[in-house]
Order: sequence, then structure tokens, then C-alpha cells
Amino acid sequence: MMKFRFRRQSTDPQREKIKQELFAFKKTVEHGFPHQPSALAFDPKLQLMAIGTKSGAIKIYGAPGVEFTGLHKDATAVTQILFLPGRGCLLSVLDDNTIHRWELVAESTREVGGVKKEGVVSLREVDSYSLPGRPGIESSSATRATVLLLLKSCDLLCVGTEGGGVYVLELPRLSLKENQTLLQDHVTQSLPDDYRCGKSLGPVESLQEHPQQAGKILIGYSRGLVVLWDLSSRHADQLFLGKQQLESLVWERSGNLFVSSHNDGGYSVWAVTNGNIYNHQPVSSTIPYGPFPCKAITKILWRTTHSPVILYSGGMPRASYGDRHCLTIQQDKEHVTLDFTSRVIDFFTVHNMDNDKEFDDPSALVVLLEEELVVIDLLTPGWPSLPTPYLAPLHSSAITCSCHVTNVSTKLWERLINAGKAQQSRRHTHRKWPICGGKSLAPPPRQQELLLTGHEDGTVRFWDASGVALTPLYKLSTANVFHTDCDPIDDPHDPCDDPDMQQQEEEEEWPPFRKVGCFDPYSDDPRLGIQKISLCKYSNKLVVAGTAGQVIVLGLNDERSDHLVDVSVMDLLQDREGFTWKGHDRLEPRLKPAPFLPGFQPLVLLQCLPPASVTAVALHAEWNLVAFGTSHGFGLFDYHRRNAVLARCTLHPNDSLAMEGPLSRVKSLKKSLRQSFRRIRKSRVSGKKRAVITTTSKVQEANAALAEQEEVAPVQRRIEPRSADDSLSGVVRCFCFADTFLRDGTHHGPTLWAGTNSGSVYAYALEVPGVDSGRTCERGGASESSMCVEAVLGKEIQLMHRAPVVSICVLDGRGKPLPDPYEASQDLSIAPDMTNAHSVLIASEEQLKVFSLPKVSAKTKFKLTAHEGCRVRKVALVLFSSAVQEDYSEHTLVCLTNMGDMHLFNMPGLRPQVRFDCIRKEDISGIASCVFTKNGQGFYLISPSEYERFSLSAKVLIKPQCSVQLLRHLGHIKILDSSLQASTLVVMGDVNVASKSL
Amino acid sequence: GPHHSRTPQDRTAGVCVKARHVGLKPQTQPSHKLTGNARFWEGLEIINTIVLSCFSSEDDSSVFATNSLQRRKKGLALTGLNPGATHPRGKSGPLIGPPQNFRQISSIIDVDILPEAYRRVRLHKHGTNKPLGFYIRDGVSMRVTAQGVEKAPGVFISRVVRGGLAESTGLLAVNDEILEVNGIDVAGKSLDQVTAMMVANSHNLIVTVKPANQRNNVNRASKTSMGNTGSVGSAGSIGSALSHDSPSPASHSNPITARSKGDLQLLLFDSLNPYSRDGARNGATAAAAGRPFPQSVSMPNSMGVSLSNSASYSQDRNYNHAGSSGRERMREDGTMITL
Repeated sequence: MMKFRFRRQSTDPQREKIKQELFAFKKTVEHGFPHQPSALAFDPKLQLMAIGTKSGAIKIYGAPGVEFTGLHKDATAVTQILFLPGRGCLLSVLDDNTIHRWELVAESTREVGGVKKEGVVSLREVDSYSLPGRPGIESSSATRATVLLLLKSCDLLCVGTEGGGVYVLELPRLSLKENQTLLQDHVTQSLPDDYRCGKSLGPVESLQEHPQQAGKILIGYSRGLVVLWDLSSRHADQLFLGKQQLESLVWERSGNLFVSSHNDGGYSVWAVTNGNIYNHQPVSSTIPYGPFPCKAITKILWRTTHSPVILYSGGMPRASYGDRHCLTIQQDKEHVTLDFTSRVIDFFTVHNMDNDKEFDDPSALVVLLEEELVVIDLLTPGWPSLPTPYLAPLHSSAITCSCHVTNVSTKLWERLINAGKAQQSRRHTHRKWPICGGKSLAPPPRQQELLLTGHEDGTVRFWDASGVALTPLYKLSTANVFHTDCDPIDDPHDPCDDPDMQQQEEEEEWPPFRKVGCFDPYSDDPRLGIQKISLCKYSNKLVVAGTAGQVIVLGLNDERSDHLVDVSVMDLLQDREGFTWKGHDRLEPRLKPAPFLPGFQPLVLLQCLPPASVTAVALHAEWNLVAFGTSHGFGLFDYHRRNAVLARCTLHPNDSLAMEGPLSRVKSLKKSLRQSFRRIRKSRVSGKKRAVITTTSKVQEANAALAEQEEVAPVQRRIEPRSADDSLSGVVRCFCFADTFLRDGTHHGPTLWAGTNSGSVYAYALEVPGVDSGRTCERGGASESSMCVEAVLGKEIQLMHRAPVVSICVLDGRGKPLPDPYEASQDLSIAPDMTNAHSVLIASEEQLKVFSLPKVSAKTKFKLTAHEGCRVRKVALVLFSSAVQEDYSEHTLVCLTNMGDMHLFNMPGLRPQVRFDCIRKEDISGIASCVFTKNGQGFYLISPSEYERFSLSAKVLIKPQCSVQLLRHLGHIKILDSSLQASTLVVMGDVNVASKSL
Repeated sequence: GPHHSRTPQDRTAGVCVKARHVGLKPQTQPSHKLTGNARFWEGLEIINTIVLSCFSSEDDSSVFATNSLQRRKKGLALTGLNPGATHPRGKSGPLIGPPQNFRQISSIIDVDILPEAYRRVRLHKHGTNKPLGFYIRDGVSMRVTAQGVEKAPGVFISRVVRGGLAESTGLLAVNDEILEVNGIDVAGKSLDQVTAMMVANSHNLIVTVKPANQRNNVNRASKTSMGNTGSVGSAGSIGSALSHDSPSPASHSNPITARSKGDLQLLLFDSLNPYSRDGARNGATAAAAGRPFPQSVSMPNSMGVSLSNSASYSQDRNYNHAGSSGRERMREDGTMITL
């Protein structure tokens, strides 16, 4: 055979069955905030909220745990979403001028491959309609949909267009009722001559149905004209001859008033009184932030209580606050200008829809921003914000790393929750979450799971990852360990600490801004960025390491404490000459004692020199040791005795690049400036209302794409083996603490392993006082020297292929990974086999190899790169439990490669088990962000703000499970009970829907 | 051109034959003088001196018609047994031309089982500071199928660096299509994957190419005169089974009869470092170079083909084999281990 293959696994049916019971790949749920949201809708009957995105996704949220996802076939921006209230149906309008109908569908119970699958409720696209004339044809912009209105009867859909026409579609078929079309000419005819003045009325900007009289709609044209149109008689009841360019309209509950908002930053109240056809003047007209020119009020809501509440976005004075993203709430003398950090996409109020009630009585305001969701409690005086139970803005500062902790004890969990509560600001209320549709049927989580995310601003956020909704628990900031330019504690006039001051400031300032939301992409100092996190859940010790070579050891404390943090500087160059660090300076430690809030409080600060970014960290809390590495070397520190145990330089003499510093201060400042400009530019572009796509732009786009394709072709790759003096070869990639046999086969003891970018592995034998190792026993008695930890180099291994060492793991006599610190000594897991020979798994980017100990001779290996051409990016040893046999489980090595696929290997045989495609290979940040849990799940970033959660295990799945009560077919109540099968791709005809079930 | 003459050594059981149809042409004409000074050889940068010695041996029919890619262990096992490995260390005599003075840099392997249009080349990177020296690119490959000519994405050599190993062999050229890397088909693999595979195997890289220039192929059909015919069938069937891609009619009608026992190898030597310098570390070189050459035939253009039985040729050991607990090249030096 010319085709040479490695030995095929014999397909043993027994083994295949076991594999099926162990492994199954599924993307289960998306955590976080949808990337680039573009539309918002609310179903007041079902209490469900829908968010559409620029990539064509629709996500529905109800009570925490109730989630549905749908994806349009074309990745086109969703411009509007409309619910058919109570029916579990919604309509979406895309940027390509198509309308799509979606339904929550319950599948009947069916048998698939002998396995009975329960009925699945999913969001499905059931119909689509293309408005006449698609974009790309110049003339068609006239029929481009601008606004939609679904009549309360849910049988007619009115579509306002760019050309000023209003079309009526019949539901549910979405068929055009030709005779109902209202073209602009028809309206113009009935206008007085002086108003007509030969100009077009402009696009339809707003369509609103009369709150009391069915079949009457208010049509607002861009030029300012508002028409009250009777659909049944096809006759204009009244004409409101507004002169100011119109942005939006809203009815007052009674239907006696409506409010229009305008381009000049003003709004007008119009009375609808029977009898006179022409209304020339509004009842009142205000420019709230005048008299200087203001920006447009893009949307206004008028809600009634004992006195009306007005809510509107925009309208800020152009010169002074034109760049702010604001939403104003006004009631009587109360006036708050909510000041957001990202653009307002849309907002709605949760209010009383019952016709019998006199007032709207809004209870909450829900604002969808470009980067987060903000909910304001309108019932509590002062209008505080409500913490969101889902849609957490993971990226409030850019995520730099993450870490997952399984099976957290209830005690630690409660302490974290309390620490989190203590930090919550006064401006939060704990009123019930207003969007509470559906019911989560998911069983309470079997165990508490923590996801820790490190951020660019030096914070570590703790998330409850036990269920479908990822909720914030606690936020740790490391910035106060250092003395930074904008030190909040050094500033005596911090408004946060002084409520009176804040009050005062608010009163003085006009407009009365209030900062709301937590999205803050601007980092004070990029050196604060978190690179590595390690948490010991048994001892509550946390190690956090950052961009400027800082390694902080923290302990959990329930009380506030003011103390000075011990600082220790570790020189990793070890007097190597000829190197000058050109990167950033180390962070300046705070010299005064600092107040630390309840939660994790710093004990020791280690600073690596040169202050290069920390690339690997390991914590062994039982031995009180922390190991840390950079691009220059690694160190070992005993944080109990505050004693540096070891520092080792890993630099290759020829490596000059390591000295430059991957992040020099000048460079990073430039970079961050450039990025912020880009961000601003981007938000400006995206802020444009309805970009009209013309033929020319389409052609240009196509040409550009073609040109790009042609340019891409001549790519060549150099074929050369890695050489010893490749740059950054000294980067320390991984550590491993293990109690194993390094020096001989009879005495085991603490060891530390470190792997580098150039395929070097250093193994140290450690002497830890109080830890029973063969050696200390031999010596008998604690001599003076054994009072501190010692490290002796035991082995130095150079892998021939020089590929970066991704992971090192020591296996016990049975080939199982050694338990975590404390697990063995406190009988928290099965004791490791210390009688048979241990082995060590060294995973490099190219190969997986198991070596016997203490001789370090190869036992098994798998050369992944030589066979598949892919490189290992992430590895994890995972315990897979059988979905069928209660007590059967297997340790498996999971490998994520640069191709985005998961390879699973048995341990310690390293035989390939299964392979799953997981992440697109182009999605480099997704692959880089992937973390695995110990039970076969994982997370990776699908956008800066969203984690995709996936499961490789046939047993452990966390997925939405929920039911929704639908009112379909006029009051007929159908209960959709769902079990959950997540993320199925359903292809119906040519409609392709990826649905996430509930 | 210069002549390399040496005496056949008695220890070889092989039958020496003379290759008559060697289509390979040297890249440059060698211009060195043959002097009796070993030092001369050490300092001189002569790349294209290639020894021609053709022989085959009758032993070890067990390896017949097996793919040399799958014979790694066999080669390993024989490393120590090779009588040629007794070449005394450091004793590089003043003689010019003995193969001991040449380090093998490449070889054409599996000539007997590959379609004639293909060439399987092994590049010996070990111990040299010379770069492999080539680049690859994406391209379009024309395949002859039952449905006619089809276009398929392929990977091609885009550049050969001057002075690099690839150039010095003369066996790889720009626009040669890469079909396999160390026995693994690259069809369906991206350029980056193929790059990674090649780099991962760079210490012992075996590439199967379809040369852009098909005129220099080893023409087996015309070598029917030598060797026995015992294994025609199997060799032929393999040849045809493999010739899905523009099969050569010759390989069907005239199955390989030449050197039917043992496959053909074309060994190319580089004269940069005498064997003695390479030391015991380089087992492959030691074995190959140390093996006595029964006969050498000088070619006018001073380039050579060594057709040898691969059983006596020691394979480089570090070949990847899935799950194999293969022997590691291991050097222990105090605590320092190289694996």
C-alpha cells in the first residue's frame, strides 16, 4: 500500500459500545452576552425577551435557565423582532429585506436509533417572506422595510418602507394584501397644499396601533407628518402636520394622546381629538436638553402612572455630550440621565398590559446596549438597577484567561457569595427579575462549578457555572496591590465612598448623569492584566499572575482587612549576562497598608525580573509552594515561610527576542490607543441608522472579495526543523507538582516539573519539611536545613523534536493521574498507587508521550503532528463517566489542536479513541481560550463576550431544560414540556435552522 | 569528470550490477580535484559529488515488496549487526572517494513499489547544519481518473534554496507535487498541516513526490535483464494498485523484474563531513557508509546511483509509529537526557 497508515484500531464492538457510553460531543449552551446585538423584543404575555444579532442569531430568554436559540440561514443582521404575544411565535426582519417567522415547536416523542428521545421544544424557522424588490437593485430601496407593526389581533402585519409606502401582510402565511397597500401618493393627496410643497414625505419612521381602537394605526413619516389611518375603511382619520423630522412615535394608554420624538432632540405631545382632520400644532413641545443644538431622540416611551413617566434615548446636547450613550427617565421632578458605556440598541418597559387597568404602571425598564443588558427597577424610588441573572457581560474588561473549578464545597461557595454580596453597590435592588417567562425544568446542579475569568484590568471574576445561566458571584481586583496612576484609594474624593458627595454632585450636574452598567473596556494599565489563575478549593488559596511578572498569592478572608502585602522579587535571569530588558517596568507595589474587602486578600506579591508576562503558574497549597514561569525562566516560592526556593533561567543564549518583551510599554500604549480609535470608529459606523445598500456597493464588495481571493493564493511555507535558537524558546509553558519517584524506584517524594517552549523538561526533587518523603525519613530528625524547602535538579530532559511542552502530568502505578493536593492526604479521592512504577505524560505540541519513572524511558507515544499535521494547543486529563454503567469511568486525555478538533486518547496507552470537530480552525482566539472541566465539559470564547459551553461526555451535560405555556389558537392552552437535546441542526427544505432546545 | 575508483570488498554477498538507465542529472558539474588529502575533503564545500555504485544482494527475501516505510524496525535491528559498521573511528585515510568519506544526504527509496511517475525521497537532515532548504505552496493538481482529467488541490514545492539539502540532492525541484510525507497521504490536508507534518518529520523526512519533470524517472521497464523473476507478481500488483494517478502502462506490462529481491535504493552522499566525524551518534550513516561497496562504477558525469538491498541498509530509527514503544535515541549525560 502506498498509503501508509498507522495501525488501525481494531473495531471491537464491545469497545465501541463503551466508547459510545462515555463520549458524545455536544455544544450545549452559550454563556454571556450575545455579540453585536441588533434587535430587541418582548412578549408581555409569555414574559419572554428576544435579542437578535448582526450575525443572524435570535436568542430568547425568560426566567433564569429558560433559553432558546435560533440562527437564520443567512448570517444577515436582524433589524427587528416582533413577538406574536402569547403564541410562542415571532417574526424577524433581516437586513436583506426578508421577514422570517419562528415558532417554538414541540417535537413528538420519537425513537432514534433505538433510543427513545423525549419531545424536544426548539425554536424553528417555519416561514419566510421576501419583500418585493431585494436590495442590490437600485429601485428597490423604495420597498426596503423600515418599521413593522403587528396588529394586536395578530393577523395582520404592517410594513413601512423607505419609499414611504405601507404594505399589509396577512399572517400566518405572510401573504401580501395588495388592496391594503397605502402608497405615499394617496396620503399626499389629502394634504393641504402649503404642507405638501412638492416634497416627498420620506420613509415611514414609525407605525403604532391605536391602543383602544383596533384597526387604526398611526403612521409617522420622516418629514414630520403623522397620519392616523383606518385600515378597514382605508381612510385617513386625522393628519398631524409636524414640521420637525420625525424619529419615533408612541401612544398614550388611553389613545387620547401620542408623543413624537424628533431629530432636533425634542419631543411633542399631540392630542387626538375627534372632529378636526388637520392638526397643525402639538399640545406641547420640548427640547429637554436645549437650548443648544441637541442630537435626535431616537425612541421615546410614554408610560402612565399617577403621573406619566417619559423614557427616551438620545437628545443630548450635541457639542458637550454628543458622544454619550444616554437614556433619560423623567417623572415629575425626578430626572435621571442614565449614562451607558456603549450604544443603546433598543429598550422596552415591562408594564401592565391589562386593558381593565387604568395605568401602565411600568415596573422595569430593560435597555439593550451594544455590550450589555441593563435593567432598571422603576418601582423603587431612585430607579436603581437590577443585577441580571444571565446575559452577563463577561467582557466588561477583556477576558485574558480562564480557569474552571469543579465540585466546589458548599462552604467555599457560601463564602464567595457573601464576599460578592458585600461588594454590590447600593444602587442595586433585589427585586424579582422582571423577565420571568417559561419554567426551567433543569434539575438542581449536581455540584457547584466555578468559572474564573482573568481580565485585562487586573480583575478576576468568579462565575457560577453550575447551570445554564452563568451568573456573577464575586469580583476580585488586584489593582490595589499596586500603586497605580489612578489609585482610587489615594483619592480622598471618591464618590463611591461618600454618598453625600455623590448626591451633591448629581444635583449640581446637568444633565443629571448616572453611570450605569459595568462594561468598561478601557484598562488603566495593561500590566495589570491577568495571565494565569490557579485556585486550591480545599485550602482556599488562590494564585493570580499577570502581565508584568506579578504573582499574587491570596487567601480567603470573610472580614475586611487593612494590611501590608509582603513583596518578594525573583530574578529569573540568574546573572545571565548580555541581556537587557527593553519591555515594561514592573508594577510598583503599594507601600502603605491597603484596605482589602472580604473575599480573597493578597498575602504575598512576587515579582519576576525581568517583569515579563507570567506564562505558567502552579500552586501546591499542601506544600505551601507556588511555581511560576515567564519567557526567561521559572521560580519556586514557599509562601508559608516567605522563602524563595528556586530560580532557574531557561533562556537560550541566542534568544534575543525574549528580551524585547512581548509587551513593551510604549508599544502597548500605541496599540491601545489605536484600538480605542478603531472602537470609536466602529461604533460610529454601526451607529448609523439603516445603511442603504446600493448596487454599486454590492459590486464593489464582490470585487473586493474576488481580489482578496486572488491575493491569497500564492502562500508558501518554509520547511525547516525548529532550531535550538528559535526565539522565545525559553518560555515556560507548564508545571506539574507530584509526589513521585524521580531519583530512584523505591523512594518517592515531592517533585516539580517544568516544560518550556523548546521541548525542555526540568524535573526537581523537592524536600518539603513535614512531608513524608523517603529521603527525609532516611536522614532522621529535622535538621536545620530541612526547615526550609529545598529543590535539587533531578532530571533535565530535552525532547528531540523541540516542540513546546504543553502539559506534564505524573501517573500513578495504575496509570491514573495523581490526585490534587489534599485529596490524597485527606482521603478525598482514591489513594494513588505508590507501589508500582509511576510514569509521566509529557504532551508537546507535536507528540504525546508517556515515560516510565524514574528512568524516563519512553513507554508509549503518539505523534499527532507527524500523522495529522495538526498541533496540540490544549490538553487535559478528564475523567469520563459512563452514561449507562453507574460506576464505570475512564481517564482520558483530551487534546484540542490548532485545527479546532478534539482528539481523545486513552490513558496510559495513548490510543486514539474518538475525534470531534469543535471549533473552526480560523477561530484562533476560540481555540486559545478553551478550558476543560475535569468531567468532560469545556468552554471557549465564540466572541469577546460569549462562552460556548460544550460537552464531550455522554453523561455530564448542562443544557437548557424548560417549558413554556403557550396561548395558541385563541385561548387554547398547549403545554409544551420539554426535555433537552441541545444544539441540533435541523434542515427543513432549504431552511436551515440551528436550534438550541430548551 | 573525476573518477572514483575503489575495490570491491569481499564481505558483501551482493551481486554487483551496473545501472544503465539513470536519468538523474547532476545540478552542477563537480569541479573538484581529487587529491589524497582528507583535510581537503573536510574543508571543501562540494555538494554534488555523488557516488554511483550499483549492487543488489540476494539475501533477505523476506523484505521483498514491502514498503520501506514499514520496515523501520527491521532496519533498526540490523544496525548493530552490519559488518560495515566496523569502520575504525577517526581513520580517514588519504584515499579519496571511499563512501566512508561521504555522508549520505538523501536516497530514493521504494523504487520497486512506486509508480514510475513518483519518486520517494528521503532527506537525511541529521548532523548537518545545512538547512533542508525548500518551500511548499498550494496548487492545483491534475489527476487522471476514470472520469477523465480532474483538478484537485495539491501541495507543491515552490522554492528550493540554493545550497540547501533539497537542492544538493537534485531529487526535489520546484513544482514537484508532494503526495506523501513519511508515508502519510497529504490529500485533503491544508498547506499548514503538510508544513507541520514535514517539520515534525524533518530529522528523517521522506517525501513522495510526483516530479514536475517526468523525464528523469528511473525507468524500470528497461532493466529486465537482471535478477530473478520470483516475485514479479506481487511487485507488479503493488505497482499497479498504486498507479491510480496516471499509471504508466509499462509498469503493468513489464512488472519489475530487475532486482526483484530487495528494493531499489538510490543513495546520495554528501562529502561534507567524513564519516568519522559524525560519530556513533549517527547510526544510519555509520551503517550505510560503513558497508563495503562491492563495486563502483564511474559515470562520466560523476553522479551515482546506489541500488542496494534495504535490509543491509540501516534505517534511521526515529521513525514515528503509532503507539509503538519504539526505541528512542537516548543520551544520558548526568541528569541531562535527550529523547
